[in-house]
Amino acid sequence: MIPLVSVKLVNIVKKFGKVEAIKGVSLHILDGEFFSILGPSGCGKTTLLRIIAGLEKPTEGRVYFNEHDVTNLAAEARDVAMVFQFYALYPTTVFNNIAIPLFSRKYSKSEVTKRVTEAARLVGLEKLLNVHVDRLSVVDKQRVALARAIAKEPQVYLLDEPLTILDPVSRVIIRSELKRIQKQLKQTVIYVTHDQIEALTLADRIAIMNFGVVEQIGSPHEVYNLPTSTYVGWFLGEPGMNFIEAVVSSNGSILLGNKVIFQNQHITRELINQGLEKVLLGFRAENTVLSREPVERDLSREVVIEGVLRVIEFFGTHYVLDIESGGSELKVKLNPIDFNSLGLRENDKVTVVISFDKVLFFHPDSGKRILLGEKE
Amino acid sequence: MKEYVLEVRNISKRRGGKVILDNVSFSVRRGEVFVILGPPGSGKTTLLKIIAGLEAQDLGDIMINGEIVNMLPPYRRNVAMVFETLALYANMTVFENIASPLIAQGKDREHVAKRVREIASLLRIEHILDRRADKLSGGERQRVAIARALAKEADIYLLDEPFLNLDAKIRYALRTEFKKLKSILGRTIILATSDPYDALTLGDRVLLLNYGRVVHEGTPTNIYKTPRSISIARYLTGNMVNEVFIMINGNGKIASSIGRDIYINSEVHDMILKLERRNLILANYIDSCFIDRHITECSGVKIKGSFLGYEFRGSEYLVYARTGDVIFKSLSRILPPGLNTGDEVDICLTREGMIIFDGETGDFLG
Repeated sequence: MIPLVSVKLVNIVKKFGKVEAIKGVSLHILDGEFFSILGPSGCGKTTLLRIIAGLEKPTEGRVYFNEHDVTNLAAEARDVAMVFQFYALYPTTVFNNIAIPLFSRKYSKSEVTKRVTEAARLVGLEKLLNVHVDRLSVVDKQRVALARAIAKEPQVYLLDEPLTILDPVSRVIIRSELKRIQKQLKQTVIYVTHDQIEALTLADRIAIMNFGVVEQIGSPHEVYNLPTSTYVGWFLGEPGMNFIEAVVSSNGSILLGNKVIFQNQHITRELINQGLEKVLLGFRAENTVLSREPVERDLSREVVIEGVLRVIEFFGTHYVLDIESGGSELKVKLNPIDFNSLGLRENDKVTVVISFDKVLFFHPDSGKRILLGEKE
Repeated sequence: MKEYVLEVRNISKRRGGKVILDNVSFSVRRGEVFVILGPPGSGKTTLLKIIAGLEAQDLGDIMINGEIVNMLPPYRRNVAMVFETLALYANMTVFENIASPLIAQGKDREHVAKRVREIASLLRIEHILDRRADKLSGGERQRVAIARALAKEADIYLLDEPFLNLDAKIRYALRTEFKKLKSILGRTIILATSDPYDALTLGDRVLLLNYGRVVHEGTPTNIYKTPRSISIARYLTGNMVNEVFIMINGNGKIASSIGRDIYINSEVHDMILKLERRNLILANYIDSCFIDRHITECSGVKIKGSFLGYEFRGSEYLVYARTGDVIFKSLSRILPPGLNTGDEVDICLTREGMIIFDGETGDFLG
């Protein structure tokens, strides 16, 4: 039985010359967790993975596997297996490809055969063990790379964009296999990607990175629906989250331009107590209801914004509408049926309604989410 | 004034014995954004160069404002071809960025300054002319990029892949900004792209080019809803289309590529027989296909399959199922609960969203 391993990073800093690639990252990846590190290129995610693997030494900070400080431990001694975007396979059979890394470990012949067969069975390659890898499909080649990692029985799996080169359907197939295998082996997997769909689909938890800093850690639903910063809200989703700057009035109103869009004494009092005269309202384009006429609304439960439809964009499966109101812009996502029933044209007046439970508040300067006692 | 600022008539072009453009014709109205959409190598860039006068056609005419310009050199056609992408020079000021194509044209200083101010005031960026491009906000940067593309004075602007190599987020924002400024600018723009989303979101009209031939022309909604062939439907959606192959034998019996696990609604059945073809493709886009453990009511075609997996996109799930080698995809706001890979599921292709193609030619039937 392979022991379950948690990975803990404490205040990791990594400098390359004068460039600070990682600016103080702390993470606690639980044992048996499928953990994804997500961010745009250059955010430091691959450097962080290399630090966990032992391929890179942090300038500052410690790396722990369970309670063991492995910061100074060489990569070979860490018992991790890495799978990369470009699998490097040897020009030989599937069996040999899976077995080669095991030879250096001086296992008996029967032990090697046992491990190779077991790993091949897990990824569905058991019938192809004697086939030369040149004759395999791209998907099966990636399976070989995966089986090779599994056969090592590592404490931790480190995956760096392993699915990028696959076509969309193969990606879905390998993704579900990855998840199934991970659940079966109950091993810790750390998966680095720039593809948000990949992270949202696979991970138990995601760390979202930007410029060497972790912006947020949470479950896929948490990071998508409850971003802790405007960056995370903007980065996730297409389109990203809407943010509109509104004025908080002591009489209980929240105003956009000179129009009251929300009215709730409790909320405004709390915001003012936190020293906020202005606030950013964040909400997702798909959590809006659009109508042509101004309607009677309960302003204590709904945010109501009147504006002008500026741009209509057709995406096939949906429309995205750009609406201007009081100097702000916001996006509304609609399915084609709803869009057609409204019969909208550019420059029409429209009313956007957002249920208050779909609205988040953010600090206008720092961009950090503001927690309100009543809401959370 | 003529209705069409540009008329392209029967343009053909060969290069080294290879057909680059084959009898291409279309007309562009004043103030329109006209998108030429096609995969790499379909002849888009050559077509733009022929319009601009940078390359000569073998056959056919180019008419600008009603006059044949075949013999006119590029600088007398009043056409501006913008080659660069909409990325900015980070270490230059906004003024220098917008001025760069004019300076490259050899315009004198006074003219450049006047022109830059004109376009800057139109796009409401006069106040940032002295700022460095890397100090701009996202929205400002996009306006500057568009200003630079349209800095030259011309009747027609030709943009070749203006959004190429841009990060997805920036591309998205730039497209919206472009569309927003369209009416303010009132320019005639011909935009070549290989990204169907550029065409769907930006084009007033779209011309689809493949192997140098016009395969479809129409508004974005028109080409999307009634694609002239199954391959156009696949291209427009990045293969996000579900397809079932149907064979109808002499006595009106229907067989399918799926095998026997298929139930065709009687109305669809009648519709299929009325078409009087031997082979058909029934196709649905991913938003008119449903996948669930059990579907009792299906207005179109119901298929038995197995659950393959899903993608979580934040706002939606993309659910995958398969029947043999045929893969089905469904866009859904909720994920059918408790499904594991391999579980049996029902797949419903609705009648409302069904597009039918000829199984032999791939042509649109209805």
